[in-house]
Amino acid sequence: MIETSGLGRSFDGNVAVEDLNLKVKQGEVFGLLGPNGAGKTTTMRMLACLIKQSTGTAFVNGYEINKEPDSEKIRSIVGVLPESPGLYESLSSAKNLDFYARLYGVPSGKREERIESLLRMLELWDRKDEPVATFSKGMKQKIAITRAFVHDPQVVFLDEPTAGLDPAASLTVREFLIALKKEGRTVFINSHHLDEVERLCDRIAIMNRTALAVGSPKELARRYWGRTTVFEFAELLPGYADVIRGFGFASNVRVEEGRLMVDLDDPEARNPALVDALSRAGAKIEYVTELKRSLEDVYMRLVGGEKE
Amino acid sequence: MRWDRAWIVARKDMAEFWRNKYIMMTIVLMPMFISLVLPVVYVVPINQLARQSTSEVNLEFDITATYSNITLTNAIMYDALFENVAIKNSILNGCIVRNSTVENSSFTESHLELSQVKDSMLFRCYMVDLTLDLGNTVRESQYAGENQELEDLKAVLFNVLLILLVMIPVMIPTVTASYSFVGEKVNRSLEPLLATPATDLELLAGKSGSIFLVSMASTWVSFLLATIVVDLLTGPVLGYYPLPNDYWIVGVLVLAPGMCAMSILTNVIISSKVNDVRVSQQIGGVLILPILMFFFFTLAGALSTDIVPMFAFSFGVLAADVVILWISLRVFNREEILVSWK
Repeated sequence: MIETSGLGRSFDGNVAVEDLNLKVKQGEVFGLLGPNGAGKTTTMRMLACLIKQSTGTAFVNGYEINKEPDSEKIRSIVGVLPESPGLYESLSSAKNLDFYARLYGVPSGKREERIESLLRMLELWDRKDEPVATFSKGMKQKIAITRAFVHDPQVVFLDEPTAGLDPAASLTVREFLIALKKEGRTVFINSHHLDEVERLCDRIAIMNRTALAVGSPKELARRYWGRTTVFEFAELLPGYADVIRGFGFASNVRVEEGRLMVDLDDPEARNPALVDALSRAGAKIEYVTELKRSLEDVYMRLVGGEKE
Repeated sequence: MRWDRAWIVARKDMAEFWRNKYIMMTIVLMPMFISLVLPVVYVVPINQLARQSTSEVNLEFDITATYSNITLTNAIMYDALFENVAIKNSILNGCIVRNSTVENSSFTESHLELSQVKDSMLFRCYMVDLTLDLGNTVRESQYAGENQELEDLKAVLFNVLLILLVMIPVMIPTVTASYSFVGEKVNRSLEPLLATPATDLELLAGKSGSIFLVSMASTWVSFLLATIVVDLLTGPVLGYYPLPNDYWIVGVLVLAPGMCAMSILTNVIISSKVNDVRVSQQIGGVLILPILMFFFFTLAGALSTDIVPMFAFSFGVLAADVVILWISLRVFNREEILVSWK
């Protein structure tokens, strides 16, 4: 479990992160979203005890960050994937992983078994003895991801895990992360890929120096956009909107792209009454659906459409 | 401090060195040149002088005049005995010279004893306890007592060779450390390394240790090879094996490791400021300057070949190492590396 309290960091007077308060539960996949310079990497580095915080504090699985001897303990139970793979190019993927496994103190008996299992999961076992320098960018990223998991960490920090990967490789990595998610470890993902975060993460935080919003993608969409019911008819007549407006709980009734839309607080409870009224008015309803708001819509509303 | 973690880092770095042809060339070729080729060149004048000193000279004198307490200048003298005389710019044949000073003169088939001889030429002479400088030319002559000229020549050449050998533990870290520290920085492989439970000190010890081991292994092998080459070439002529002497033992066991540590730690500091392996190597090359200074002072005879200045210099280097270690420990920590290293 990760808990931050008023966490902040400045660099020469420039605030990178301020008053960050987050709670990430055990076994949760948590996404951190934000524009460049929002402090995502700085947050991750503070939590992984790579740099010190200027204000506040945080606990990772009960250990306080940047406080000895807790720092060393935190580093031993977390896995980190930084922005760049940072592999030793002249060494093979197996040697790279073996080096880190030894440094993390993985017992010799388990080391080979663990490396083989991870490389097989990411379809790299056949090339385990080739120098990393001969690998594609995507393959290097996969090796870097396996490195973060080589010591079977309880918490994993992944900074842009699918950056630079083609769609097929991204899918492999996503499947890999989903498989590891089932093992109950806490995964903390920094990403620009909203779609990926939406698919992988149980909850997310949108941050720009501080957390602007925290919740599941669905919760956030509802919180910032409300819920909208969409009616599609065989033939949309102007009077149908007035029928809906007659209900006090219906707000923002409008016609868009040949569909009638209405914002509702509790669509599950209200929709039957609206359907009934429209049917009585002679409407032939073909579909009643909920308007899906993507994480991107929430993100753009909160971050204000800042250029990436 | 867990040494097993430092050793894991050191082993990984050494595996990388093994696969880097530039590093391997630096570790193997440069030391081979210094330890195998240079000694061959250096022992030639020693052997030449040593052979001259073994020439057997049998002289018979027919003294017709004796001079003492005078100054002899621009003279040509035959069959004379000189005692307590200052001889300058003169030519002497079949003479005996005792307790005198000689400068810029020429002697043939003469006996010189307990005198100081400078910038002169001696041919078929018998010399007893002379103080000769390197400006003299001696041919087919015989030494009796200590051959000061040969001793001086040996001291200077062996010391210069030693100083060249000490350049090995300075040069190798300049190359290896630039790859090990700047290379990792450029390759961005430091961050995952810093994310491990290894402490800053363990990482610094591991990375520096690998460079130290490789550099000192190469250095000590070079010292050994140079010693063998010098002894094999000069032993039969001198009648004894001149190396290793005290000066070399201090050089090998104190100065070389001290210079190696200085080079490694300085490169750690340089690595925090540069982003290019070659720039790091060039700046690291500046470290050669104090050694070259020592080299030229020795050549010029400004420094004594006595062991005391060697000890003083070596311990000065070790003291400087402590200061540089303190600075490198401040530079090599997670916060600094991730925030301030450019």
